Amino acid sequence: MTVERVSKSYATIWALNGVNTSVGKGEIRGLLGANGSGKSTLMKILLGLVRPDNGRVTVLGTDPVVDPINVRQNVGYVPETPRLYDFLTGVEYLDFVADLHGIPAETKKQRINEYLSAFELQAQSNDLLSGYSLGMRQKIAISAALIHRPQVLILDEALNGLDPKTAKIVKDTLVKLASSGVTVIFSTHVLEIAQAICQKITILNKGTIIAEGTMDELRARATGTDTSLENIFLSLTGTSDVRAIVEELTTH
Amino acid sequence: MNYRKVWVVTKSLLLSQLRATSVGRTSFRSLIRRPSILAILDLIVIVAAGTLSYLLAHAIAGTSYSTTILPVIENIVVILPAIILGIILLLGLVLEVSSGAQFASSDTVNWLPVTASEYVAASSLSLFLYYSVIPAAALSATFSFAIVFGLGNAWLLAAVLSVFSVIVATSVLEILRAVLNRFTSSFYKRGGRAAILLRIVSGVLILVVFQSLFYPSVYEHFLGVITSTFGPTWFVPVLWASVSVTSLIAGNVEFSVLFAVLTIVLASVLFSIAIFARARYWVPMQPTITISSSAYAPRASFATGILNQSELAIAKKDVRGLLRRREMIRLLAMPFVFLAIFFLSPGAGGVSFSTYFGFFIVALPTLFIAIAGIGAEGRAIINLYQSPLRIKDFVIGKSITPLIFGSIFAVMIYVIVAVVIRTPPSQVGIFFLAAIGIAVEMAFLGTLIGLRFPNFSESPRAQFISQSGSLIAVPVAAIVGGVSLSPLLVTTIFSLAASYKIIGFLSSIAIIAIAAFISFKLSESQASKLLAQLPI
Repeated sequence: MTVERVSKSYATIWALNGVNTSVGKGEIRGLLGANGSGKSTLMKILLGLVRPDNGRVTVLGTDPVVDPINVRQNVGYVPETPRLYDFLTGVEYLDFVADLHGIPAETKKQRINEYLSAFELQAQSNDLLSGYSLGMRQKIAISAALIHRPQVLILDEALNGLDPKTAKIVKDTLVKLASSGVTVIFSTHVLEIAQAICQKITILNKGTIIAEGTMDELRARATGTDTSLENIFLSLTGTSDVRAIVEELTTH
Repeated sequence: MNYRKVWVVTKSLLLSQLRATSVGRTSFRSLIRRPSILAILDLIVIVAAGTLSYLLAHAIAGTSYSTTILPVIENIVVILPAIILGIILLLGLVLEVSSGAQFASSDTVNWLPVTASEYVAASSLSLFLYYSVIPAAALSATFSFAIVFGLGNAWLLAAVLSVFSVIVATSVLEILRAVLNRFTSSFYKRGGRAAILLRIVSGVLILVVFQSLFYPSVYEHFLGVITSTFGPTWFVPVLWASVSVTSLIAGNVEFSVLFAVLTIVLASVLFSIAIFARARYWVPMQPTITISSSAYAPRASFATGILNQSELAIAKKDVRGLLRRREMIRLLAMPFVFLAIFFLSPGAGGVSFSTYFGFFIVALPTLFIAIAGIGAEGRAIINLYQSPLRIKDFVIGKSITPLIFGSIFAVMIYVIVAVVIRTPPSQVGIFFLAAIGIAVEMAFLGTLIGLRFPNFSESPRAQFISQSGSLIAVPVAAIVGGVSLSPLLVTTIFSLAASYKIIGFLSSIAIIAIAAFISFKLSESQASKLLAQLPI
C-alpha cells in the first residue's frame, strides 16, 4: 500500500495533512495516535470509503478512488464501531457479507462454521445481533472481515471489547496471516499490543505523521531512560505531562 | 415524587421528540425545536381559533341558523374529551411503533436515579406538551360557541375532563410501551419465527383498529350513539367523560357528577397501573432473541437464476428487516388500514375499488417500502460501502423487497376484488397485471426517491427519508402513477370496446416500463453519487 501526500479536511479541520507512507506485503503496521489524530480517516481513504482532497493512495496496485470494488474485494475491514444489522442473526449477517463477496455456498458454510467455532459463537449463532454484547459483535465484525480471505486487513481498534482469550486468538491470527503474505494495518490505543505484534509503527498527530519506524528506530528517538512505546508515544505527541491532569481530576 | 426531577425529565423527553421530528435546516419543523416555541405556537393557535370562533359564534347567534347549529355545538362539546383522548392515543401509538427497539434499552433515563412514577409523569407530560396544540385548538375553537349558545358549564366540564382524558391516553401509552417491551422479549425467548409473525399480526391489527376507530365515519357513528341514547356507551370507560358532559347538558347533574368522578378515578387507576408497569415490566436490556434452532446450511433460493448473489443477499436482508423491525410494522399495516377505511366508508365496493382504490393500495405501500429501504440502512450502510458491490446490484437488490411486498399486496387486493366485490375475471386479470406493473414502477421510483433524499438517523426515531423527500414523494408518485395508468383507466371508465381496453392496458404497461426503466437508470446514477463517499 502506498500513501502519497494525502490530505483530507472536514470543514476547517485537517484530518490528514500531507501524509506519506507505504506498507509492504506481509507487514503488520501499527497506527497510533490520540483521538482525532486521523487514523480512522486514513483507513477509510485506503478502503475508498472517503475520498482524499489531495494526494493518492494505492492498495494492491489499485487506486480505491478509481476502482473501489476491486480494492474492497481484496480488503477486509473492521471499523472502530461495528455497525451490524441488529435484525439479523450472527449467522445471517456472515452469510450476507459472504454473499456480497460472491463466496460459493459450500465454502461459505465451511468458513462461517469455522469462525463461529473459533470465536465460540455457535451457541448464539441463531440469536439476533441486537442481543449480542460488544465483544460478541466485535467477533462477528472480525469474522466478516476475514470471511473472503482478504490480502489486506484494515483493523480500526478491532480488539476493543474482546475477552483476553479472543484477543489472543485475533493477535495470533494476525501474525499468522501476515506470515502468509497478508498485509495488516492495525490501529489501537493499547500500546502493548502494538509493541508486541507490529513490525512497524506510524504515529499520527493532528493529521500528520510525526514518527514512523520499527520499535528500535522509535526507541532511538526517545528522550530519557524510559524507552517504552508508551513513553515514546506520549513524548512525541506532547502529552507526557499527565501528572498535572491527574492532580486536577482528583482534587476535590 | 420529585417534581423538579419530573420537569427536568419532561424537558429532555420533549426535546428528544422535537429534535427527532425536525430534520433539515430550512424546514418549518426545524423552527419548533425549542419547547418555548411550542408554547408560543399553542398561544397563537388559542388566540387564532378563539378569535375566529368568537366572530363566527356572534355572526351566527340570533340568525335562523342558530337553532340548527345548537345540537351540532352540543355534540362537539360532548365529544371533545373523547376526541382529544383518541387523537393523543393514536399519535402516541404511531410515535411508539416508529421508534427503534434497539435504543429503548440504552435510554439514559434507565440508568439515572429516576423513579418509575417520576418517569411516567414526565413521559405523560412530555407527550401532552408535544401534542398540546390539539387540545389548545379544540378547546379554544369551541369556547366562544359554548358561551354564546349557553353551554358554558358543559364546556368547562369538558375542558376539565379533557385533562383527565389526556392522562388516560398517556397512561395507556405508558402501559402499552412497558407491556409490549416485556411481551416481545419473553415471547421472542420462546420461539423466533412464530414470535415475529405474532408481532407483525398484532402490530398490524393494533394499527388497523386504531386508525379505523378514529376514521370520521366511525366517529360519526359513535357521536350519534352517545348524544342520542348513550345507553350502550356507559360501559366504555374512554367515553365516560363524554357521558358526564352530555348528562350535564340534559340536566342530569347526579349522573354527570358520577361519570366525572369515574373519569377521574379511571385516570388515577391507569396512571397507577402505568407506574406499576414501568417499574415491573420495563426491561432495561436487550432480550436474547433466537430465530432458529437449526444448524447453519446455506439454501439455494428459487430466485438464484434471476438475481445474482449480491442482489439476492440485499433482498433477503431487507425482507428480514421489514419483517423483524418494529418501526417497519407501520409500512406493512398500510394496505390493511386502507382496506379497513375503504370498507368503513359509505358505499364501499363496486367498480371504484377495482379501478382506483386497488392501485392506490398497491402503489403507496410499495412506494414507502422502497423509500424506507435506503434510509433504513442507518449507520449499518457502512456494510454496503465496504463491500465490493456494483451499483447495478445495489439498485436491483434494493428494489426487490418493495416489489415482493407490492406483488403480495396486489394478489391480496385482487383476490378481494374477485371474491368479495365479484368483478368480472377478465377485468380482474387486466387490473391485477397492471397492479403488478405499478408495483414494479413504484419499487424503482421509491428507490430513486430514497437514494436522493435518504435520512440515516436512527435515534430516537428512524426517519428513513428527509423532510423535503417526504414532501415530494407522494405527489411525484401520484403524477407518475396517474400518467402510467391513464390509458387503462380512461378506457375502463368510459366503458370502451374490448379492443380499446386492450390497447389502453398495453399502453399503460408500456408507460410503466418506460417510467420504471428511467427510475432505475436515475437510481443508478444517484446510488453512485451516494456510494462515492461515506456520508456518516
